[in-house]
This record gives sequence, structure tokens and C-alpha cells, in this order.
Amino acid sequence: MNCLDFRRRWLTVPCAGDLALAQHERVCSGCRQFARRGLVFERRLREAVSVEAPPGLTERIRQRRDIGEMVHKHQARPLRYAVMISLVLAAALVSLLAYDFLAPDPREAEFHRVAEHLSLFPAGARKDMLQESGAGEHGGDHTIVPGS
Amino acid sequence: MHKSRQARFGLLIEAYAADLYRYAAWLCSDRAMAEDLVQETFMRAWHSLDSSKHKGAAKFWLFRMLQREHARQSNRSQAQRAEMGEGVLADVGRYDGNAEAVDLRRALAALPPEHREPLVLQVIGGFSCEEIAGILDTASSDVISHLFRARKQLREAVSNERLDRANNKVMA
Repeated sequence: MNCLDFRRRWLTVPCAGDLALAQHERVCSGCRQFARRGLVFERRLREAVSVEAPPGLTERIRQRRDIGEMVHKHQARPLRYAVMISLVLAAALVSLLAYDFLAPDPREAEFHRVAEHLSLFPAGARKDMLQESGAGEHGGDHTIVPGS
Repeated sequence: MHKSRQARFGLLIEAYAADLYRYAAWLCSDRAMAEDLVQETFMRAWHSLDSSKHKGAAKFWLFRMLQREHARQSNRSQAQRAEMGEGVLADVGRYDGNAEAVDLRRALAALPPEHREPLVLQVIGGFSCEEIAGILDTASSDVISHLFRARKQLREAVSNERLDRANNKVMA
């Protein structure tokens, strides 16, 4: 290590305490002086940089955290209500749709009732009754199979 | 769970609030703004205490967060930024009035921010060049260069001031 490297290292990371710096310092009186002045400078620099923290800083940080938490809780409450109401509405909607889907169609029930009623008659009478009611006039296929 | 979270938070405040305040004071040069910055940093720390990726390096994490918060606030209110160093210099007389400290503080305040910030992080936080690079989001070779220039300029500035004062004494 030469003097230039030594000083460069000292000005970058002072008091690095590595072996190469110490070895050079032992053999070079100019760099030894430089390092000694550097130590004094570093001590002064630490003093100059150390701005005094205001009294009660930690307490104010805690207070702000507590206030922040309170505000957060109050803000979260309407959101919680909104979520609950949405869930209730969604459940109501689902049950309404399910009822609509599962409930028997009144027309289908009527059809079954008539079909059951017709099945009590013999086949010939049934055909006559259908022709009378006009259901067989257009040649439509109105075969009624009870229980279908 | 909540109690242990509070206890962890309490330890962080006790350990780092003062150092963070010092760093903030040199960053924004205003005591009120510095305190606000520290409080905001701890609020963010509280919210992400459990999800912190830097559980083993809380100090690094907090300084990095403060630096980010300062950058955010600076972007928001660039017009309101005070002249660097004036606020800090105004407090000099309160706790260290010797001429050398005043000179050094003035010289430090006059440094360009890119030189001053790594130096303050190194002196206050005791961070390595790699850690400073991580906090400032820059290359560690840049940090080395800034540290070197900052110390060189400070030493020159302080010795010039001392020379001026000696000349003034002789003239008087």
C-alpha cells in the first residue's frame, strides 16, 4: 500500500482497522500524522453531526401510533358494516333465485293433474275427448303419457 | 401477539428514534419536518412490522424507510424546501457553540446532498458502504467516491476557516 491508497482509504472508511493500513502507518510517519489528525477530525465530525433529539420524541411517536390505530379502527367500522350488509343481500338474492329455480311450475303441475285424470279413461274415449276439445284437430301429437 | 408487537415496536423506538431524527434533521434541515419524518417512518414501520423483510436488520430497514419517505415528501412539496443546513445551523448555539463545531457544521451543510447524505449515514448510523448504497439505492462505488470527496472538502473547508480566524486575530 502506498501513501495515496492509505489516504484514500482513510478518507473513505476511517478507522477501518485493517492490517494493510496499520502496516503502512507503522512505516510512514507522514501517513501516521495524517491518521492522527484524521482521528481528531472524525471525533469533531461526530459531534457536529449529532443534532440533539427533541425531548419527548419517543412519547410523541407512541401517541401518534395510538391515534393512528384509533383512526384506523373507526375507518374500518363502516367498511365492516358494508361488508356485512353486502353478505346479507347476497344471501337473500341467492335464496330467492334458488326458490325460483326449485319451486314447481304451476303449469307443469296442472298438466300432470290433467294427464292423471285422462289416464283413468279408456284410450278410445280419451281420443274422442281430445278431438272434442280441439287438441287433435291440427294433427298435433298430443300423446299423453301419465307420469312422464 | 399484539403485546409482543408493541414491545418490539417500543424497542425499535428506544433504539433508533434519536439516530433517525439526526439523519432526518440533516436531510430536511428543519426540526419540525425532521420530527414529522421520524414519526411517519415509525407509523409505516408499525404497519409493516410483521411483514418486514429486514427482521435481522431493523436499523437498515428504518433508515431506508425514512429516506424513501423524505424523497416522497420532497417530491410533494419541492417548493417548500428550505435552504439546506440553515435550520440545523440555527440550533448550533444551543448545545455546542465552539467555533470549530460551527465551522464544521456549516461546511457540512454546504456540501452537495449527494456527498453529505452518505457521510451522515456513515457517521450517525455506522453503516458500511454497501449498506449506504442499499439505503440510497445507488452503487457502492459511488458511495465510496462521495465519502472520499465529502471528507476531503470538509477537511479543506475547516482548515480554511481556521486560517481565516487566525488571520483575523493577527489583523486585530
